[in-house]
Amino acid sequence: MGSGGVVLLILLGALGWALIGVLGRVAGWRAGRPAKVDWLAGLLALPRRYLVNVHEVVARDRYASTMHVMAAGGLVLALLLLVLVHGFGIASPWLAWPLLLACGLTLLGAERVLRRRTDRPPRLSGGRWNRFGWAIGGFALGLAWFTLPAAGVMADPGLFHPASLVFAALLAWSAFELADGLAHGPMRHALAGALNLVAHPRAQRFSADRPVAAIHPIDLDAPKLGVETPQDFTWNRLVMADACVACGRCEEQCPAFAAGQPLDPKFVIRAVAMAQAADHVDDRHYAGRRWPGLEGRVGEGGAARPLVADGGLIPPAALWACTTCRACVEACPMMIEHVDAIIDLRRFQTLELGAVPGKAPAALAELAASDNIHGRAAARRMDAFVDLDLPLLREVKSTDLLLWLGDGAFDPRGQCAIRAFVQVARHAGLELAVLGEEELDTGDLARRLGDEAQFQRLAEANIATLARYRFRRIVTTDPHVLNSLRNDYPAMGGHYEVVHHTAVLLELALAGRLQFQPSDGQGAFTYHDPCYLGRWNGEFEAPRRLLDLLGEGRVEMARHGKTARCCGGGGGAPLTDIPGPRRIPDMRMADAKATGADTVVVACPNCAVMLDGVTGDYPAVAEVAELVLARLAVPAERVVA
Amino acid sequence: MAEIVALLSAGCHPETGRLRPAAGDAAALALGLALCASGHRLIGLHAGPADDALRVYAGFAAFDLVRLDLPAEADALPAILPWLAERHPALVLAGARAEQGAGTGLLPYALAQAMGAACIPEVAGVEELAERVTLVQALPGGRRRRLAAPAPAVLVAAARAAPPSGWAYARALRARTVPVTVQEPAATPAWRSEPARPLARPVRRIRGGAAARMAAATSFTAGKGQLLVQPPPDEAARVILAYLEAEGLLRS
Amino acid sequence: MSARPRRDPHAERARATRVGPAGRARRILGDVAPAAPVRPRRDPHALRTAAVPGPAGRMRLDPHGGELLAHMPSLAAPGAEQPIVVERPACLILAVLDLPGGRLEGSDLGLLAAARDLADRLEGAVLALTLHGRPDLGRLGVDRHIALDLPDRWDPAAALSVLGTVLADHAPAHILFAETPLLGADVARRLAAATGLPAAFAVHRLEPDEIRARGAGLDLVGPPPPIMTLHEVLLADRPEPVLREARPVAVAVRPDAGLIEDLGEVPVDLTGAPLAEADLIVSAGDGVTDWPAFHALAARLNATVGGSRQVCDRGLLPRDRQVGASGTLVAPRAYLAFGISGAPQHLQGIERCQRVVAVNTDLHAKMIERADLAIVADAQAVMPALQTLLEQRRHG
Repeated sequence: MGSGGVVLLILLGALGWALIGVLGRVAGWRAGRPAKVDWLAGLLALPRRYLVNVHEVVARDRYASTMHVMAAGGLVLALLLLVLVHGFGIASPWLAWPLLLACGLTLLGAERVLRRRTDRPPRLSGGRWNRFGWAIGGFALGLAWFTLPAAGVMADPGLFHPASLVFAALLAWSAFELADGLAHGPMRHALAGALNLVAHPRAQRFSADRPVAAIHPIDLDAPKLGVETPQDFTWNRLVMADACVACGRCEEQCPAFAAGQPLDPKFVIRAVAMAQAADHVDDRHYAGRRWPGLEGRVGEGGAARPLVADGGLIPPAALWACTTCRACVEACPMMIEHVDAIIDLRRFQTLELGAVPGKAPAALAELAASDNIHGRAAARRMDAFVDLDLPLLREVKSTDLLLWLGDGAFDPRGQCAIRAFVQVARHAGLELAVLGEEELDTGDLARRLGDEAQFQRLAEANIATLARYRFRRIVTTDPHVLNSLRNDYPAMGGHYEVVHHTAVLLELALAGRLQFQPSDGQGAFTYHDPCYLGRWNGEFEAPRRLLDLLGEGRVEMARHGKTARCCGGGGGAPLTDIPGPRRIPDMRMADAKATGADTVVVACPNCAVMLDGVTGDYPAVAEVAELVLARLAVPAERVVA
Repeated sequence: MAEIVALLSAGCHPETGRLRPAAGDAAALALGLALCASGHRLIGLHAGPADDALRVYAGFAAFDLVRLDLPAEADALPAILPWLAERHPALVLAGARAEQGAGTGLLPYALAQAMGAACIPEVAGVEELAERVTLVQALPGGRRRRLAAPAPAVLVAAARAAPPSGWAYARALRARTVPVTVQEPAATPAWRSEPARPLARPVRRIRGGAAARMAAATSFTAGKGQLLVQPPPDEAARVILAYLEAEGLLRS
Repeated sequence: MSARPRRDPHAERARATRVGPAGRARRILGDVAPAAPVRPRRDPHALRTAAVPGPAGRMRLDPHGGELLAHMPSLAAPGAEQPIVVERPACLILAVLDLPGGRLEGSDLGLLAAARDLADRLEGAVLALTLHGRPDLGRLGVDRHIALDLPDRWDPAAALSVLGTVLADHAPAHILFAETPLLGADVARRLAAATGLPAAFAVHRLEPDEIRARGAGLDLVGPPPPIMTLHEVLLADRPEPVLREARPVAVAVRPDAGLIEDLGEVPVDLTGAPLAEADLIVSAGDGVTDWPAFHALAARLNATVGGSRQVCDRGLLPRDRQVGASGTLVAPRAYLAFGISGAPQHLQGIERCQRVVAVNTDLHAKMIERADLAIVADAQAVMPALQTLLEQRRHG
């Protein structure tokens, strides 16, 4: 028997081993809820999704991207050639030499993998991932040895040559390590990752020109609402969890993690992956960072056990610390949707258990009885704007631009922004109408707190109201409202063109309908991206261009745009109020201070409240519309109210 | 184990007037649910025309729900009494005042009178329930007092007590109520009722016409405020202590 | 009051104006008789000097109408005053006082004022019932007084049996209670349930022919029933300090043993209790640096801990301890402020405190101005002294 035969033997054995493992894993996925998947479109789009969407994220870390091209590219190439050379026994140098080159490339990649492991950043998981480089390298090395005869470099030394024995052992170990890893270890990301790209539950995110960030509605008549155990996830979300490479880019971006709150988006996803495979499992072997503040905690779970519980794999506080800012999703190279998973888990906690912490239950109770979280009568929404004489849609029946007041109408800070926008819009000759007391909360907060029932009730009521009137566009100062109406309402049957007030102001300014005073050249702005305008809706430019038109110097915080840090005000986090050693808004104001700017410009009532609440020596907080109003070429007091 | 009945009335949101769990009754329910956890059986009793009023409470936990079918305006007491007499519950829990209608807060007292039971207001927690019920009563200023009374007893939940936590939509949705047909009581002569308007701030009435009011508005009161500038600490401490003692606020 | 005649320009102008035939008013110049003074001119300075401050006292503008000035016995004519006696009243108004802890509270005075008012309008007499003490009610508008010395504990059954006797002996037309939890509100409902008499609770308008009682989102309107409890808006009033007879009336009582057994107060650590319901608050501001002493004092007094916004912002106290417009609005019986200068938001938060004691190093701090007992001293010195004194009291 030639030494090449042993390669075939080892590979067939490993393949068999892998097959057994993968079938077991597939059985686990199939235990999940069914999902509608367009297989053909997914398969056809796979190369594009991989080479464009995944690459775009991976390439943000140059080292990792080079490493991955070498190791993965080399390995895939080597496996393809291996089938020809060793599988079909085609001992042509024309195939053997490329195979040797592929092995060499893999070895270089493996070296980079190992180099990163020796000085491992804390965000990376250890454990089996630490052996991964050795396995790839060992596989490439062993394969290369047995390919040398085919390349004509040396004569076949025979299987019982001591070197051949050593390399055979190396190849066997590494092949089985990789094969086993396909189901239970690092290699799983390749299989599950590819499948995740094909059967992604949010397939639109790969094709749309701006993020499609709708949260999926659920059937409220279902026997179980939301997700309790891993098996309650749809199967493709289980695949998604298995795709995680434990790179920890999400936890690096997570504001709650940075604040020391017990949330680690990576651990949430790993917990789902960990629990779905077994009847009973605990997280003692988890090799990443632990939940902040709960380092000594041991969680237990299983495929049919609750994920979120005091002794479960995910501590309840982790669920409620999330601000739904989507920074983790944006950072994930495997296209994992952490926020969707958290919302699914929250739904069960809220709708089935009623286990919502902090002031959130009171807010939801008020929402149920008064359609806003403050418990005010519907007419009170207009209280702060009586002097503006805003036409009511109920009276004028149709309008070009419908102003959605949102929750900001109940908060002094939000009221200022709305007033400023109305004044500027009127100055530019824009006519607005409002729904007044017919406007209800959009249900955005309820949905993010997992109260899907209230969201659907409010959405249906609002859609029924809007159906009675004619309008071209809806404008709002609140990105949460914008996101809700634009992304969440279509699934409920409401299709509207929704714009943020910064976009409208930019339109007006570009059309020459707003003239600004020349800048006095003092002080610089830094713009804080609201998560729901930026990451959720891809609008980064309009507010920035508007500020540039004002002519002040604009500086950027280190984290801005897609990687902007949240103010801490999203997802109901101020209501659930999970304690941590630091506060998210404090960290954001420190970011702002580090730029040297003396004004932080915000474009969201929640951001305004959160950042304004930070005491100490920090830049001033100003809303875009207020700045525009203050800088109009006509003195502000002469602007028609 | 003993049977406990919580009287649950239709709540009313103060600003919108919409149905919600009445705050006082929810607090009473919280007392009942705490007892439920130690093995007693809890029945939520509502006298009214529709299930919705009961359903809003069902979201808090799973417990039995009974509705006595009565028109909204009818007096609940004549309907509740025979039902209670039949069941002999060990405890009846109620909120301090209803959020709709007259809201006199008299019902628990009348109920206790008719049952020959003790009525205890401002109950913050029930410690033990057997032949006797041992409970903790909330006093002003956050203090507590322990009381005991023979069962059956009527307990009125403390106005400031916390409502139960954990309202869940699915529980409310899936709750089943047991409707009980009762004889409609004869209408009692009612008070004339008018919509309530906000009350003026409590003020002291000045008697003796405009001159007296003017005098009152511009008069000075001496000796009400007392000022010590840089006294020795002991002296300051003594004065403060004497002050608190006069107010009856020294508890130790 | 000064004797300087007071000119009334409005009256002078009215006299000098004649209406012409065309209906047009015209002013007559010249000889217009000077008007007699309408009423003597009030000299605020004289008033001010009359209100002589006590040795350590300070003068203050009192928006509630000089309550203490009016009640000071020294201002009334000494000795010679004869009490008003009502010999044959048309009816009796029974006022059941709370007397919590044996002290007359504001709500008791308010109740007596309302009872007096009703009695005057019905030409009746006020019969006051005090179960746990014999305060002097002579200047509080009381004609008859039943004073008992029942043990000072919560015993609704005893109150009910006494009331039964009083009702049988005196047949009052109306029985008034204050709507105070566990006290008037409780006894009134027990009485209504036991006797079956018509009752109205939380009455906020009390006229001899019509009353208004606050229901749930509505007002109940009707003639005054025998049993009434008074809403707090009626309890801010005070009786006129006219000397009345307050004739002691004896009543033979055998209080029944009730079903409820009092097992005594449960020790509760109130330092972390909700601020909104606390009745003794010790609060810390920027001037407090000795935090162990502050917390020890709070624990010793068993007082609820509060703090200014600055202190909570810096994390020295949890956020739920913040007193003020943006924190909790508090209404304790006494508020001890250590090292708080008194930002406007903080003063808003303590608007409803009954008594404020302030310890601060700055004489001109707003808090010192607001305080009923103001001590200009370092909190770090006063807190340990207070602690020592409390320890001595306990042991001595």
